[in-house]
Amino acid sequence: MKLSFYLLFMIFFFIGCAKDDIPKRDISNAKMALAQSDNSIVKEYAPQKLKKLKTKYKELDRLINQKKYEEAKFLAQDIQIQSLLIQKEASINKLSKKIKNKEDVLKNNKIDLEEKE
Amino acid sequence: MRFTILLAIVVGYFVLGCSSMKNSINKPLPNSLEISSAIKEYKLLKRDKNIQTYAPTEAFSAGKIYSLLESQKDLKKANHLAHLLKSQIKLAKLTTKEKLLSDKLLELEKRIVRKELEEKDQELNSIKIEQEKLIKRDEGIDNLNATITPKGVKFIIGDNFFEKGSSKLLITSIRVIDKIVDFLKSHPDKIVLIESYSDNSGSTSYNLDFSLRRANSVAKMLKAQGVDKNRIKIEAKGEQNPIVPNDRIENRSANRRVEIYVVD
Repeated sequence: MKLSFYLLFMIFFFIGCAKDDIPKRDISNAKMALAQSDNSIVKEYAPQKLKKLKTKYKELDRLINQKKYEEAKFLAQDIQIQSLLIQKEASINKLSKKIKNKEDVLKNNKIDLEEKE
Repeated sequence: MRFTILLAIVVGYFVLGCSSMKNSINKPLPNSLEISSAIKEYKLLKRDKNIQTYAPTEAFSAGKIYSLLESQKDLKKANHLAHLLKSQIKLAKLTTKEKLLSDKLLELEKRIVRKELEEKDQELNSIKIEQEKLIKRDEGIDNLNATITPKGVKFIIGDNFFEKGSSKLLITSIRVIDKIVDFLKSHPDKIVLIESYSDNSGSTSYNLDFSLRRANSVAKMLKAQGVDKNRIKIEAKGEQNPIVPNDRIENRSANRRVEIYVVD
């Protein structure tokens, strides 16, 4: 009897091992990454990419509802890295704008608008 | 015995069937365009000195993904890892670009500060030159017997600049008037207050009239030199405020004077 119980436990254990689980950690990380990207700098300097990322997040929800966990996991991981990318791109766009402003200041003795902001 | 066989079969089946064991160690690395381009990009990244300097963390993470990709035998997962690797490489490149731009911005800010300092230096030099001019001018004022009083800068046109007993200015006064006019031109915000005095010989009304005529004479000369009439105020004081007792000829002459104040 004990052995039977042991066997059943093993079966369920291995079934659990073989099946795809809900990638909770990846989903949670993706959600956090999206929240970090949803800031004023990204909204100003990379609005279109933020919009695309939000669309991806909706797609992630859809995949989870359809129990397509492996695809959901991949997408969640993609959202995480894309989130970092758009934050970086926004930062670069902001820096480029600042540089242009400073170059104008040097070339034309223009008022440094950045300083006033 | 029966249980042992059953156990061996079940365990064996699931160990072999477990998803984590699906990929045989001997299976070669799957290949796709995504995978080969990711590997190519990673190899370039490893050689990029800028990335290694400015984005070491991102490059390290790319290395970890590359290791996972190398050991991944499942094509779908390998493709996904290749996609992540390419994104991570892009992140490393952007981080490098961000750092380089930050350096450039810092350099520009330094240049602006240097330029501002140069401009301040130039302003300071201009102020110094102006100060030197003012000092020279003040030296000129000293020659005119000018003094600084609480009321303003005071010039005195003495009795010796007028014809004896008259309000008519002598030709020698022109030099003095000219210098006062120069001073006024360099201080356009200031006005002139002319206070004229006489000695106490004669009646009070005569002395008042005498001092008024001398004050008007000076005012007329200033106007002739281009000083706006609105900048000139006259006060005839007669025999008031003698600077010395009117007991001797020299003293009376000293008391017959026109004081010109340049005031705010």
